[in-house]
Amino acid sequence: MQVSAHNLSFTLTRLVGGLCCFAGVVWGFSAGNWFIGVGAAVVGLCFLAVSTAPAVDPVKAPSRTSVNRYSVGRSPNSVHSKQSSKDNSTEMLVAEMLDQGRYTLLLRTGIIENLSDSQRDAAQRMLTESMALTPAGRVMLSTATLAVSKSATSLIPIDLDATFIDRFPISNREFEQFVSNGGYEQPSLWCADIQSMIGQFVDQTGHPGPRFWWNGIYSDGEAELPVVGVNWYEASAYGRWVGKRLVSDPEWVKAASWPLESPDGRIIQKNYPWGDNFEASRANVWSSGNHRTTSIHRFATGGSVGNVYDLIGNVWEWLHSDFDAWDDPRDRLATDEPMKSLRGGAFDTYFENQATCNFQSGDNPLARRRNIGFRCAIAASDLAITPGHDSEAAADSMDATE
Amino acid sequence: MPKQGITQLNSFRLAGVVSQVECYICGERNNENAEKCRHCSAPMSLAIQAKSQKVHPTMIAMLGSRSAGKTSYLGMLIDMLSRQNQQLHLIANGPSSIEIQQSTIAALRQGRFPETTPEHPSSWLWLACQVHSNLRRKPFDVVLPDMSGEAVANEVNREDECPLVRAYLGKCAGALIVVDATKVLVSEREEDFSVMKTINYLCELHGDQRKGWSNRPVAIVYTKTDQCESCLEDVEAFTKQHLKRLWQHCQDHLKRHRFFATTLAGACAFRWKHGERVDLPLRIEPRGVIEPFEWLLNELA
Repeated sequence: MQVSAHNLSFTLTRLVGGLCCFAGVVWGFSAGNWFIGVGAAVVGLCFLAVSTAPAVDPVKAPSRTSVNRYSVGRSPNSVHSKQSSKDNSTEMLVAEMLDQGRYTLLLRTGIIENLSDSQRDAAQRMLTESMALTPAGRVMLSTATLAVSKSATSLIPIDLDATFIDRFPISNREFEQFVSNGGYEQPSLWCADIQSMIGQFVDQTGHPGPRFWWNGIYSDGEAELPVVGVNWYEASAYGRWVGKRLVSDPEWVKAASWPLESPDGRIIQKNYPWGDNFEASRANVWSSGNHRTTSIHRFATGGSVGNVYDLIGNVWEWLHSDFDAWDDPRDRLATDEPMKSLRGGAFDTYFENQATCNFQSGDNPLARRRNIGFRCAIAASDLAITPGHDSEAAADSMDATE
Repeated sequence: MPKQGITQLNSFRLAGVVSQVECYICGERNNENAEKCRHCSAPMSLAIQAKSQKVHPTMIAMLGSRSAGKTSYLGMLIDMLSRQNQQLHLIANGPSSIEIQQSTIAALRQGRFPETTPEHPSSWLWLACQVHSNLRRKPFDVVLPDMSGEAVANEVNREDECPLVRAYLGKCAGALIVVDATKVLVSEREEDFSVMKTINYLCELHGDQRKGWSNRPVAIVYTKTDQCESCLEDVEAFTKQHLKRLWQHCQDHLKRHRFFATTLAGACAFRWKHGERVDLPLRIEPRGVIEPFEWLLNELA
């Protein structure tokens, strides 16, 4: 209603202006009173001038920040009040981003310098709490063919830089922030080749969101369950929104098996984050008897040396890499459609040897399955963290090792 | 001494020939010490057990075309029901039963499906097991042979090709008909007709309205549904959409039937071997395996 009234007033102003202008000129000159005609024309032109002046189009709903900027610009107050408004809006924006879990965006070069000490501390605290630092080093990566052949070429050494990796898989609560903040409506977050299909990524009621949600929200009591029913593209879009990306294959294996390099150069890696043997009490797989996803915080004893949890079991995790990216081209498995890499096993993984740090599976990137979730990572070099923070995170890892 | 030994052995053999036992499946006479029936290749242990212990197991058939996933399904079913002690629990009897479980699980664990069942009945493995169900007070015995899809197809297409299949199906209390869901999508008509022929064969084999196949429970089980999610979501809608003739055929011929969707693998890759596509499971996450068997047993209770 407000929109129509606004448009109507503009139309009337233009109409009155035009009519005054035309009638004044005609009547004035025809009656011989040319000064009345000129006066009417001036009044009409004034109306037209007012009606064509730039105005805010209410149809285009401005964001919270743009509303603030607009009001500051029109305010007759001093420069000081402009500055304080700007500070307030920045504070609000930072608080909102921290609330949404988008702290890594604040810790990038060019942004971190504009934060206050308390804001910077808050962002760094969130980083330390939510992500673990896997130090630079070598990892022996198992490839897709390891699942079907035990050849020695199925393990290849990869050198990695230091990376921050999420301590837990992304939960329903976290993903809801992305959905409710219009993540599915922001094309810039999505891969170009999938833009035309975003509208099909809906829940049970046709709302944008994970496949098994209803009305754009998860079911009661499922906030801390890992988000499932999202395809690889949805997982990647979420990663971009929070300023991270999906974990790569070597990063995932390194965070899980935490390899040690012996003096003679051999790499020693564990089969499971806690050791070499499977223990049903440390992960949610078929033999654990849950037969559904459980809270990401439930298996506190299943963490890796660097305190990364739920890597084994609960949900398979979408990884950034292609399924056969690390395989010898001569030995690649054929698939009906291109696949993305999955690791970790899920609540319904029947064999424990398929829920290890080394085992790799894959699936169609468009698959939205009930047992596939994801977590995110970011290279340490992408963050402009203060020197103290880096060592603090490393110390955390050391504590965990001990 | 050596002469006495030879005499004793000959007399033992003679006793075996003189005392004969009827095969539990085909009813033909066999030596008492025969392992398999010389007429139909059914295990003679069934007859001996029936005679000595008065045990008459419930016989169930598993039918389906070649490579539909019958052996994988059966092996996984045995393993799942023997691992969990819940509403339905299974105790496999005899080396043959455990061999089905062992070979299937070993293959799946190594990232491949088990070998195709040989066509000749003498090589088939038989599941003989004791089932404990919450619905029955006493445990009961079940027999289920891992029949070759080719042998069943030959028998269905040209009657009297395989006496074991004919004799066994005549005695069965119920059946699981396994259908490869991926083939349904690729070549709908073939799967449609293949299952319809099997149902027709069963109904002609024993056409009695009360005791015949038209009144025996039949579970139609789609396998490999990981590659066909619409089937997993709503199996009846899938059948009506892709196998409409089969749907109608079941309504017309089988009074007690139900459709099920099952899967063992989460996803598959493949390799070409001697010009043939060999599917390889990329992970094992069984779904809908127990339900068809449980339904069948409930119908038979």
